[in-house]
Amino acid sequence: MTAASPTAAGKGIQNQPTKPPGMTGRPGDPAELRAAARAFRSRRVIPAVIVAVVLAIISALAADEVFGTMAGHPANAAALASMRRLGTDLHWNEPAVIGAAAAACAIGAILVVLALLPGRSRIVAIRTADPHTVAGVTHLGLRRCLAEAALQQDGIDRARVQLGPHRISVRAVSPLRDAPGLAAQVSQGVAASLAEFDPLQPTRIRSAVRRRED
Amino acid sequence: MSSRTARGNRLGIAIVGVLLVLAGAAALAKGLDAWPSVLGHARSVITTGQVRRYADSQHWFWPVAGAAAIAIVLLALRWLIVQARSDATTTIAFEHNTQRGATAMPASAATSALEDELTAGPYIKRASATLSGPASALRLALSVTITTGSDPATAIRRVSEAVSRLRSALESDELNATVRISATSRQ
Repeated sequence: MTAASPTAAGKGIQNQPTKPPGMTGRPGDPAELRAAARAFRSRRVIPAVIVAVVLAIISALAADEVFGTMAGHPANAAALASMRRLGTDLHWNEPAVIGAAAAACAIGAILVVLALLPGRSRIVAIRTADPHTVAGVTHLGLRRCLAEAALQQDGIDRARVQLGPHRISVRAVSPLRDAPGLAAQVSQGVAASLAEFDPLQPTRIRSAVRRRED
Repeated sequence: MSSRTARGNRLGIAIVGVLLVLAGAAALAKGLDAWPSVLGHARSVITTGQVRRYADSQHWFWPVAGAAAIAIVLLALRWLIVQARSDATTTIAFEHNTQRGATAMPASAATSALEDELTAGPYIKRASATLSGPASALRLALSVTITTGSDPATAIRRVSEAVSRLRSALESDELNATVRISATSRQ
C-alpha cells in the first residue's frame, strides 16, 4: 500500500501505509489446531444437496420412462425416441461423446476432491483453557467485532474488515484531512480486540484509512 | 447437524465422484480407442443392435432397471432428509442400578439452564445448547451470540465457566464441548 500525496486531486484518497506490525498472536499447539480443524470442518452440505437432487431427478425420470414404457404408456415418447436414436446414431469416437465423457471425468474428480479436502472453514478457532472444549468465532462475528474496534478509534467514521488466511484487512474512512498515524492506531485497536479472542493462528493486520468525501 | 451426516455427505459425494470418474474414463478410453481388445472399437455406436436385442429379450432387464432407478430416488431423498438430522440426546441416564433403580433427566433441562444462565448476564444476547451422545460420553454443541462492542474476553470466560458448571451438574468431567461464537450486527 502506498501513500498518496495529501494534495492529490480527484477522490483525495489517502492510504496511510502502516508498517505491518508483524503477526499478531501466538500459534496454538498442533493438538489444539487439529481438534479445531476437526470440529469446524466443512460439512459439505451444499455439494451433497446438489448431488442428491440431481440423482433424484435423473433417476425419477428414468424410472418414469421405464415403467411407463413397460405399461405401454411411455411418459415422454418423443424424448424416449430421441434417446434411442442418439444411442444408435452416435459413435463412441464422436466429439460430443468424448466431450461428455471428459466432462463426467472432470465433475467426478471435483466431487472426489471435495470429499477428501477439509474445505474452507468459516470459523476462526480460538484458544480455550479447557482441554475438553473447542471454540471458534464465525468470520462474520469476528469481522463485526473488529470493525467495531476500528470505529472506536477517534476520527474513524466507517470501517470494514476482511478476513483472509492469516491476514486481516481493515479499510476505514475518516473525515480528517490530515491524521498521520491514524491507520496505525486503527491496527492497534483491531489487534487489541483480536487479542481478546486469542485465535490459535497468528494473523497480520493491515489497515488503510481513506478520507471521507464530503 | 449430526456428525454422522457430515461423514455421510463426504462418503456419498466420494462414491458418486468415483463412479463418474470411472464411467467417464471408460467412455473416454473407448472413444479414443485406447483399449479396443477390452472396451471395443471407438467407431462402434453407443447402443449396438446386440445390446438392444439382449435388453428386450430378457424379461428381467427393464423391471430391474426400473427398480434400481427407484432405489436411487429413495436413497437420494433420504440423503436430503438426513441433512436436517440431529443426534441430540433427549434423556440423560445417570445411573442404572437394578437394585436402586435408574436416574434420568431430560437433556433439555440441562441445556435450558445453561442457555438461561448465559443470556441472563451482559454481553451474551443468545445461546443455544444441544447435548448428544450417551451419558458416558456426552458432547455439548453450544452456539453463542455476543453483543458487538461488548467485552469478548469476559463473554468467553462466562461461557467457559458456565460449561464447567454444566460438567459438574452432569457429573461428566470429560464432557466435550464445541462452542461457536457469533456477534450481533452493530446497533
